[in-house]
Amino acid sequence: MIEWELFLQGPLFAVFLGNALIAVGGAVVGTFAVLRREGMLADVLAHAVVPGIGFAYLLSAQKELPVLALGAFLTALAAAGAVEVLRRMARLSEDSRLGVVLAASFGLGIVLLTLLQSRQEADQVGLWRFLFGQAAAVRVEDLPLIVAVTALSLLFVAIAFKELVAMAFDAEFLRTLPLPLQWVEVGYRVAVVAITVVGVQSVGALLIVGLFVLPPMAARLWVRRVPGMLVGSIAVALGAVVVGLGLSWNLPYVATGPVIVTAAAGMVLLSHLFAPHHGVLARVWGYGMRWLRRWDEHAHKLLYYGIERSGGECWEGPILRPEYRGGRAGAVLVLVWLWLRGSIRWEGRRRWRVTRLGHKRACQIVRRHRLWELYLERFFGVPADRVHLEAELVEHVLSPEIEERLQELLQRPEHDPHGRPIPPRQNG
Amino acid sequence: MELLWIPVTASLLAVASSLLGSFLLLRRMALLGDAVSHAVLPGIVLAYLWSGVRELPVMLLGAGVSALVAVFLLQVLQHRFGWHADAALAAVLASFFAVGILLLSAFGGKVDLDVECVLYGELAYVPLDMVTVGPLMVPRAALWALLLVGIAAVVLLVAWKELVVSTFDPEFAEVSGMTPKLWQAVLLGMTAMAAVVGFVLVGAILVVALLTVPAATARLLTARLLRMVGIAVLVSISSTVAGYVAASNLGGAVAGWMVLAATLQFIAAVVWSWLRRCFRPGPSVGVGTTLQRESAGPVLRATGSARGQFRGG
Amino acid sequence: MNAVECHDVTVLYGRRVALWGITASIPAGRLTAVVGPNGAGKSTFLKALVALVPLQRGSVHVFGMLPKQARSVVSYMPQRESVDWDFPLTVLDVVLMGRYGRLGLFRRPTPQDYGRAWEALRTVGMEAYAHRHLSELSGGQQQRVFLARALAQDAQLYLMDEPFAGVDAATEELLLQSLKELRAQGKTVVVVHHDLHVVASFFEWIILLNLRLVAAGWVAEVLTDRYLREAYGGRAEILSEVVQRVAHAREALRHKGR
Repeated sequence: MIEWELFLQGPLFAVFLGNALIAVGGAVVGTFAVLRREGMLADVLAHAVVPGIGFAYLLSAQKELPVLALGAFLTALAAAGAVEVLRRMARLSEDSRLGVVLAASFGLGIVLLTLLQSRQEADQVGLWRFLFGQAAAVRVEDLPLIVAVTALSLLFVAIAFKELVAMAFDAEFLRTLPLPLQWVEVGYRVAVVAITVVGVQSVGALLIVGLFVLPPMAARLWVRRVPGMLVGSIAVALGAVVVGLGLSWNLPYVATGPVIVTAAAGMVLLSHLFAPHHGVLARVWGYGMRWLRRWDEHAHKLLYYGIERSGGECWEGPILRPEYRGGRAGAVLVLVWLWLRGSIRWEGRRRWRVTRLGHKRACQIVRRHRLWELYLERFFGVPADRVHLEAELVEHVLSPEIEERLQELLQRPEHDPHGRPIPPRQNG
Repeated sequence: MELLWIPVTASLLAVASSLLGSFLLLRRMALLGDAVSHAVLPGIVLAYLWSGVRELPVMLLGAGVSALVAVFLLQVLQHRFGWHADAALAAVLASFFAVGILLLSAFGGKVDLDVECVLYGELAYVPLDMVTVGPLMVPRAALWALLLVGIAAVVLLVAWKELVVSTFDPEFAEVSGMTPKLWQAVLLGMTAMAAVVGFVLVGAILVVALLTVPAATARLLTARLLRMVGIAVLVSISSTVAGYVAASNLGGAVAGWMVLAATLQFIAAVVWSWLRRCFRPGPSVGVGTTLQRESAGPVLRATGSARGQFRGG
Repeated sequence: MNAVECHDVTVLYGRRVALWGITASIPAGRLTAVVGPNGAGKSTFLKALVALVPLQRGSVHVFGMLPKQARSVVSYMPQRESVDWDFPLTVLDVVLMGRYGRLGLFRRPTPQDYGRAWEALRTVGMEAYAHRHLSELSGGQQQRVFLARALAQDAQLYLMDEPFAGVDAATEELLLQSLKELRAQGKTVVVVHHDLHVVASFFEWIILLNLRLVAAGWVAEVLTDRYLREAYGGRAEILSEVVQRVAHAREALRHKGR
């Protein structure tokens, strides 16, 4: 299907490589942006690219990438500088500073572009493409800049890795060390701006922040340390590019840039569904298992009451009543469950026998229940008619150690507040 | 003559935005407007695709649903999954906007929206869609903007105290039975509404400007809340008027000029407040006036550890 | 030479006065406590000693040098809340950061650095937690990690901002032990602390602050009724207990023939 030779030499390769490099660069730098909580700053810088393009065109009348990129780079840096200046000069919170610089720079950009549009005779598609990107139109000529910027940024991150991580974690502490950290700071900012500028060709200025923020946030739930987060981000970014380009290839009318970002967002979604501990499914599973365990223990309690009432280990008939209030079908369900668990054995017509395992389990839960009832009565003065409800909840969370402790504390009791015997611990 | 409806409509939107924006700024939620105004795009496109008409109410409905989903998602991400605010805003903003652009480009032929509309709205087309209200002909957009202002004004009038207290001291508000969560939701909802209407009128990005810049300008000039809101409203109106004038004479997108006008006022306020601070007489510490009087004494325990009673300082 | 010399130190946050005209010194090789009510400028004082805040007026000298030059021999331990403990790092990662000052930019930590970090972890009893994620730590454990990071710096002057805040008894014990150790090694330790009992029995030099300097000197001389009331303003009956204690301690020392 794909002719590799043609692919490598053809324009598709440039498209893939260009977008892939941009995505990787964005993911790596974006990981640090997220760790430093500067996700929105990246958006501000991205919007500030627009007036730069306008100025560059205005001054040079050229639509070539390097020239426009230079203009974009300068205005984005200027926006970063403006945020800093505002921090020192104006008593506003960080989000307001960002909001103002974002709006102002983008407003300026829109005015410039629309002025050019109204005055120029040539088509302005060339300039507007920086807003929405033209991921499918990355050309071989554009590659050198992309490769250079991405390579340098990755190199910088590799070299300054430990400082970048430390600064994101505890900048205050780091400033007390005898290190010229301002170089790291400057380098980082330049990297962010450079990748932003290069990245607007791919997904555009309005969406590039997605390439910064989405991959790290997708990777976040799966890894515990920063190197892992970087690897994860890169993987997600590449995945998004592959999926995005692939889908876009089959849907020719759809703009590629947005598909890539949507793919990245989709991966964030999947990540949050399937992540091992914190993912939605994992949590639901956890809830489900816990609920099931409680239900199982309740079933065994009913089993115990049945044994208690029938006086032995074998009984006939509807043994679960009267404690069970779930109706006939429910009672059957409990019996089936107990049988599946191996806690009871069926011995023919309405005769059931408790197994050793079942007996042990049943005793265990009832013991905990009754120990807790006694504990509440003796140490908290809770009246006997109230202790049952409390114990219904707590019996499931008492560990063997606590159980042992309760036994000691209550001096190996034999009866609960209702006078019923507390089953002894069984081994084996 | 009808062209004057442009600055009028924009001013109405600006007033509503600056009213809301003042509270957003004080609650450090300034970027929420940015996120929401990007997030409305997919809703609008879907509404158009579903209904087949390009009516304002339809677009507003679609945008509203989209905005509410976005706001809900923001809350879930931050509270359930522990995302930091900046990451949540950026992620929601980018994802929704990407989906919107994707839909727009995919169904390009069928959807009558275009790039320009998304970016800087269609203020220029406001006078083209008029409705009759009694003896007058008013643009439909102006009516919606007026409705927005009305709702904002009513909410502010009714719940001024609650909003103020829940902004400055949410815990106290909670304790006083003021349900700050409710007012937070109301504020979020209204921001969504403003973003929706604003998106249609001035475009995604620039509704942010109206929500943020006048309020920030006002904040620099005064620390008194009522004055701040008033100044924000004035700044926003002057921005829309000046922007309109500039656009009529110089060309270019009206919305863009309005933002620039607001920005210029902001810069002036920055310089003004900075100069004022530089030349103010230095602070002095009078005996007994600024020294702290600690009402509770230091914590003395014979054994064990103190529980971090004194912080900061 | 004194470890720290402050002259007319004044720090402002915008218009708000944080410190005003502090002239004091801190002797080397001693345990010093910085004490005062809420908002008195204690944290700011420490920050001024490491040049984390700009001085409006006045000067600070650390071991005869300016704070910026003295950074290689000063260790600063910020308040526990200043950091996000959900950050994807392990305990060892954080402790290693204490060595970054010696390493310089862009260099990888050497085996010696790792050794020193492990040693610091052992000292604070967190060796078993070295590869644990930060989010799994309790408050006391977090404080120990910060302490280990500070110890790994091998500094001469240790500045600690509220290290005892919100920690369990075991950690408090450990912290005091570490302070004693550092003192025995001849290091200078300056701690912001709020528990006057501990200060009275444990520390030697005290800086009593309330935006201005109320008093600076030996604990026995400064922890008196008059100064405490000036700093904390009121509730003399609570303070008198401390004063009595100090007076007893002074008596005891006098009898031992100091």
